[in-house]
Amino acid sequence: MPRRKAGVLLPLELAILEHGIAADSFYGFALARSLADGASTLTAHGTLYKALARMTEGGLLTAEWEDHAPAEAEGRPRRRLYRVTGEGAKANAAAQVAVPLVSPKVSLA
Amino acid sequence: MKAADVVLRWADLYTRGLDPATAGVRRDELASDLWEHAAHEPRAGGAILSRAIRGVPADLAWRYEERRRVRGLLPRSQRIVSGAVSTMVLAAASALIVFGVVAISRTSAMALRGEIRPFSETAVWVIGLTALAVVGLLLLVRQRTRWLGAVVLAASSALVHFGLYDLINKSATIGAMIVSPMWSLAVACVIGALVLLFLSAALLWAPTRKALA
Repeated sequence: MPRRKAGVLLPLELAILEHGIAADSFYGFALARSLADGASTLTAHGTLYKALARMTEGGLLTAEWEDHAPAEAEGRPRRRLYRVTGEGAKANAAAQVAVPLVSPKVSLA
Repeated sequence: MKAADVVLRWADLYTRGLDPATAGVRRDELASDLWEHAAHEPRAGGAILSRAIRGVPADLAWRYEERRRVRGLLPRSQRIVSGAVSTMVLAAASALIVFGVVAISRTSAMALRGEIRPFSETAVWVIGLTALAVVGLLLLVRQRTRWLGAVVLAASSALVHFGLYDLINKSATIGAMIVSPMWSLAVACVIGALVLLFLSAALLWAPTRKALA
């Protein structure tokens, strides 16, 4: 498998950045649901958390565990909350310019 | 077993041997995801297993990258020393075992022909120390136990003394060499070098207090 160029974002990473920019902070399962966009198949655990770890290490996201209080109040494990950094927002903007998500229609006629 | 338990068991497996903090984050994050998934979709067992199975290649790739990243944090000189020590210890351990097996096979062949008394005290030492060396070699295989393997191999270095002693009457070469005035010194040097190598490796690989905590 060819190694991808540094700075080039994968479609999954772009989708994560777009979700993160729109949502302020987000956590893994909510992101998986959002990426599925109503479909029943959610992103695999390995794929999702590997991408999040790579993006956090690359400075595109920050990650922190939420406070104990809300998790305890709802009787659930704490969520790991991600936020898109300034660098992440810039990378997303640059990628949108390079590869627009909605390509302009070209008439072949 | 519930699907969530299967996923967490799998996570325990592929995070084994990684930095405990990194492994802990992955496991806790997965536990949160599994809880959220089950809360969102009560009969989510099949979907959870599907997500886990589809993610296996990514899990393994992440593990590989994590291990490579941690190795990359070590100074280059330390990586070179560690690699050289591993090679020397493996070579010395293999040579020790081959030597023990040769001594045992020679003794066994002569005992079967009725030329010598089987299970002499020296032969029993050779068999025991060869077995100990094999145990040491097996302990080298796992990262966590390799320091213990090196200690066991240091103890089994006495095989050189007993093996040579056992072969005096069975090998013309050794029989001729033993009359040399330097014989005792040479044997002591070989055993000393082996013990030094194995104990140095044991010290290099000894678990830190942090790893034991």
